[in-house]
Amino acid sequence: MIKFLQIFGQGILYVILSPFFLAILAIYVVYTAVVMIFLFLKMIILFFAGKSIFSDLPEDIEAKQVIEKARADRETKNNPQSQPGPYPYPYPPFGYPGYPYPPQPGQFIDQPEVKEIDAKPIDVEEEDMKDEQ
Amino acid sequence: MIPFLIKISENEKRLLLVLLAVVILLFVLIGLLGLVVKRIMTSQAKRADTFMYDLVRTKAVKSPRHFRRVGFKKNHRLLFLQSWIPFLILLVSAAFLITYMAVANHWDLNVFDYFGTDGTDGEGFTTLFFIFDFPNAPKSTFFGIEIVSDWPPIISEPYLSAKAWPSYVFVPIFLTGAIWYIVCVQAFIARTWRILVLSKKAFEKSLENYDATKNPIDNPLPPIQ
Repeated sequence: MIKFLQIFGQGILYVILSPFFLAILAIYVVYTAVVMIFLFLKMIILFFAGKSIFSDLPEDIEAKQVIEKARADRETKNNPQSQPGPYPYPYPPFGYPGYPYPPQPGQFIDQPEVKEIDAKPIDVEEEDMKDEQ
Repeated sequence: MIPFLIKISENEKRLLLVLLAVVILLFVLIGLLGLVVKRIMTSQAKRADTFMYDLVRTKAVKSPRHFRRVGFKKNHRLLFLQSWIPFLILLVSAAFLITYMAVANHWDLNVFDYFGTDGTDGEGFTTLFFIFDFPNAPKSTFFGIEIVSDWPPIISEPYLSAKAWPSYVFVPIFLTGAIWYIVCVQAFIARTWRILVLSKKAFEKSLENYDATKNPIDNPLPPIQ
């Protein structure tokens, strides 16, 4: 019942205030129409300048940088990997990044297939030539 | 006054009860409508929270004034994104009507005309509706006030008129665009209000429940979030 009376009271309030609401709405309709026209013109001008009105604001860029930095820090914290430093000697040991171990005995190494070609022995050809002469 | 009240007849009592019920129902319906509009606007205003959340959390906006400046800019952009289609619909419908009036050289076209010259050739959209004669509606006198007591007579019944085809095209398209645009403007107002509220709330420093004896002076900075 109290809820019903509240809604009833609000109804009376809305009826009394409705002219103000409508006036505010009318003002905003006119204002937004002006904003729309202004933004449309701005969009056209920026389009020919190779820019967009929907590009990130400086504050957005700053926020993205902060978030990226925080994310990178968190990942570094969660996965602590010791980065290999520069090796003093010109030839680092096997197993160092970029220097794999040499093939072990019996280890299969990938290499291109060699195609076999049928060819006559050179001596046979020479003998045939002599017989014809 | 009291003797006058005692004198009211049974019919007047019934009328009074019906009138009271109608008035209460009307105000309750308006109250419910206001409640629905309020809820819709609250949900529409959440977009302001969404587009300002990262900026506040990362301290990219540093003051209420800065918050309002960035918030209003983003709000304008969102308005443009949301309402360019209804705005275009409104422009197209207006362009259609103006073009028709120019081509037909008929600048006094009334899109709400229902009668025409003899009640069969109206040129407005209202030819499709019942038109009631409200000024001549049956009335009863109640406490010296004249109140409508029955349905008013019908002036015009729905009919199709060939002369009204521009109105049939223009009015539905224009109304669609107008209602859509008003909903967008309503969302814009809701977000504007939310930005104004948040700009104060997000930077508010409250001493509520603050105990100075439990907070050492060597740590004046707020905790990092």
